Amino acid sequence: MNLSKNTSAESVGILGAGNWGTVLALLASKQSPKVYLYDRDASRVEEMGRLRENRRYLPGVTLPEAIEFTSDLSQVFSNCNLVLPVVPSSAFRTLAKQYAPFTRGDHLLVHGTKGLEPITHKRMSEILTEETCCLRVGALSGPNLALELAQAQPGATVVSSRFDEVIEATQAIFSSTALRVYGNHDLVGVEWAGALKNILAIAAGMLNELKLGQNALAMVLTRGIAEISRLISAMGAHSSTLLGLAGIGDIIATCTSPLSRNFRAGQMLAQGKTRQEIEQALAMTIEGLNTISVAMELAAQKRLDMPITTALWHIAFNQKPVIDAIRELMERPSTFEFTFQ
Amino acid sequence: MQLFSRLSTPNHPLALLSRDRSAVIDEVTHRMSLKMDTDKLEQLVSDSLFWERKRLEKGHDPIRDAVDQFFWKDVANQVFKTNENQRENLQFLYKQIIRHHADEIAGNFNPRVYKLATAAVPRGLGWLLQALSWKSFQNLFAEKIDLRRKVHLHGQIEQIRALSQKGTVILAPTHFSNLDSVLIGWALYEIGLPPFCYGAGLNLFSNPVFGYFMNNLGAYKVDRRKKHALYKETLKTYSTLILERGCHSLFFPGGGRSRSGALENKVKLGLLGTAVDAYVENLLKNKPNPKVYIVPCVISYHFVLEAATLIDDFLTEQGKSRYIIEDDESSEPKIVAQFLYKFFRASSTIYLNFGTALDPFGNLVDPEGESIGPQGQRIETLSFVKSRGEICHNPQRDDEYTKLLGERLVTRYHRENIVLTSHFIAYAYFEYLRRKYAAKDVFRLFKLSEDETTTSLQEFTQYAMPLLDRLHQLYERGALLLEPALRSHEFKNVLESAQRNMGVYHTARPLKLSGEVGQEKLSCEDMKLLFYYHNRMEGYELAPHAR
Repeated sequence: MNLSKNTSAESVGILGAGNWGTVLALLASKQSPKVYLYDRDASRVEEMGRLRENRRYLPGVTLPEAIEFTSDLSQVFSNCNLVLPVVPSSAFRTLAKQYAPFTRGDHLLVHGTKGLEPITHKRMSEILTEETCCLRVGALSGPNLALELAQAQPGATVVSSRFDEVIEATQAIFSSTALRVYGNHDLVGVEWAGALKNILAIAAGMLNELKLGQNALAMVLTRGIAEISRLISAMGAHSSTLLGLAGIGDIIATCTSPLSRNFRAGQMLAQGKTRQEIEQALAMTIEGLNTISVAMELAAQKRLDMPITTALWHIAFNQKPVIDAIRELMERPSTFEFTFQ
Repeated sequence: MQLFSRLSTPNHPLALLSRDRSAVIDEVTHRMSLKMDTDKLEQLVSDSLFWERKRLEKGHDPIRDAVDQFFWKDVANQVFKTNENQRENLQFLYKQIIRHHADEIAGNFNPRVYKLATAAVPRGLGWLLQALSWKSFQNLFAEKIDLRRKVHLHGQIEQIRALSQKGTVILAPTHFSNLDSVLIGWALYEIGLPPFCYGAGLNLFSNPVFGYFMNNLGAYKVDRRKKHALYKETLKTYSTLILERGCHSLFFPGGGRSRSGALENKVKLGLLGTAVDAYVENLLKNKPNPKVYIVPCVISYHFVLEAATLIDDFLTEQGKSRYIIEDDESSEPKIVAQFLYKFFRASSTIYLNFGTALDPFGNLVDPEGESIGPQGQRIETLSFVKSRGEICHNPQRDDEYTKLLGERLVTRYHRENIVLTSHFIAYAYFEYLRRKYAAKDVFRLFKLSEDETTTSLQEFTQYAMPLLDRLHQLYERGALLLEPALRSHEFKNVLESAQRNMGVYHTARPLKLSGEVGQEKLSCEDMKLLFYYHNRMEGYELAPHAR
């Protein structure tokens, strides 16, 4: 009964001192007296504490005293009610297994990871409830280029959970004059939108590389949103979530910024590079490429028509020339934009 | 007989509930008054009036309706006399309505009737039969019925016994037949548990036999025709209150009986939500044994008395709006008697499986009543109802918990389901015909003549063998349970058991095996019934082509 007696509602834990995790800690430190930023590497923790800077992922930004760096998960969970795991989807479950023993039913877990688990295609919140005892879980998503947020440029984000208290707690920690935090109850939709938008970022990168113009970009994004919307409805999400920050908001930010990895992957695909070459060149797995094959699988299962995704799949996985794929898309029979019922 | 002494002590929660009946009704009224939204008062009262008048226009129960007519006429008069400024009048009316509903809902518990009933039950449902049909009863009596031989109790029986001492238990069974409640009542007695409170459909109370027992065995009345918010809230408040008083309760979370014959794939959350409410309230009041446990329970029948009516109701559009079946096979005494007669004569068995208990948040519970996390470790149950470090009610949070609990309950039903040979064969046979007549939709399949359904045993075996293998794989993975006869890899044995048991009662048999040895043929006299029994296997994706 006394387990949570030291818990202060205001303390917040961030798991993962990457680029996004560090920025989240920085944002949280504006409202919260104590932010625990976890990294598994004790020497990096020591370094960040000494320099008050994350040289590797956020160089040049001073991190305030309110941030305590730690490599002790039990410390984070015994001191915080609200904890945000922010690690790549491929490492998400492994970490969850590590902190699971420290979780209690009153912990609020809000992850900041876009994408699906490799192989299982599970959403991050599913991993959270499968591995930990926490039921009050949520996701933070939206058009959030970390660097801009670190520079306190105005922006908005969305926190999604079935539980109002998760939304309210996250809003209380992250809302500021530079950041508006919207709430959303459609967790499934927000997580799927966050993963699927990468498909469009790849398409946008491709069109950019081929210099096919703004009309082409507008066409692919609009029709791409239409097919993604069919898929997320079939996954049990509200299609209107795609119109929000986690959907269109994120699509605008990612598909117009050359900073995005998926955008750059698209550019390289258009140059005729293979998937392996791209992943080698960018020195990381490209989430969007994985998402394309997941979307293809689900579309087949749910019998959905996803022409743009299919074209991208042929380019990325079957070495189909980009120009052929585009021609085939353009030669599809004329149809209606919407069918109203 | 130790049980009786436990029951006859004046401290038994059900006895106390009965003694305090009027105090309980007062408390329900009081709690509802605290929740009262004064801005919506007029709307709530008018809504209740509107829906009740609508219900009474249809009229189902002359005696009860007459009392209600009188009550609502009076409410109407007072509403018309009341203007907006007379808040107190509205408040008074509001409380009167609550009290009226609570008085209808609240049950009785009569230890003497309980004793009488339970003493009679071990001799089968003979007592019930006696009231229904003397002739059948005499036949039965001659054959020495033994319920224990007919009804097999499985699962976590030890756990329920233990949990009933450590907290309040909600038994949450699947619902296929009106016989369910009678069987469960007997099963609870058989495993040495005290009687449970039971929210029974009001229509059952009009049956003189069922009604007499239910009225006196702690049943409270649920009228699913009353759809207005005030009634539903009153019902929930009553349920919460009796859980808090430590009365173990029986809910059928699926609402009514399964129309399609399938296991519940979603559950109603209204009453289920009272589990978390009662738990929080117990914690806030520092009560000893505050925990509330939900025990899923799956009943498996080779044949369901009301199958024909239920599946018809499922298949007609009209059925969707007509929620309550007023008359079906179970309200015809003669049919019930015949059914029971056949039931006891046939060798077929009913399986009742008590699943592992859940806490109000859908976590599994260990034998000591402690909640278990996904890693198998014990977790602190009360931390789920803490917000900002404090134990509290939080309706939005608790509604979401209840949805999660409902989802887990559905998953558990599928895992705790004891599949019978007849379920499997009905599934395989229907899927076989569906594949054979791929061009026809389900409704056209129902029109197949018996000749068109006839198939050689050999051909059917070839189709169904791989399905049986897949079923065994599911069993090994723990996705479902199998009755012993179905664990056999000898297809012939499985088929024979199915054909001996499936729909024994029905005049048109869903499965017929005929022909000489080596030339056996299968046929179906009633495709709808076959479909009904087939549906029990829905959701396992056994046949790859199943649409």
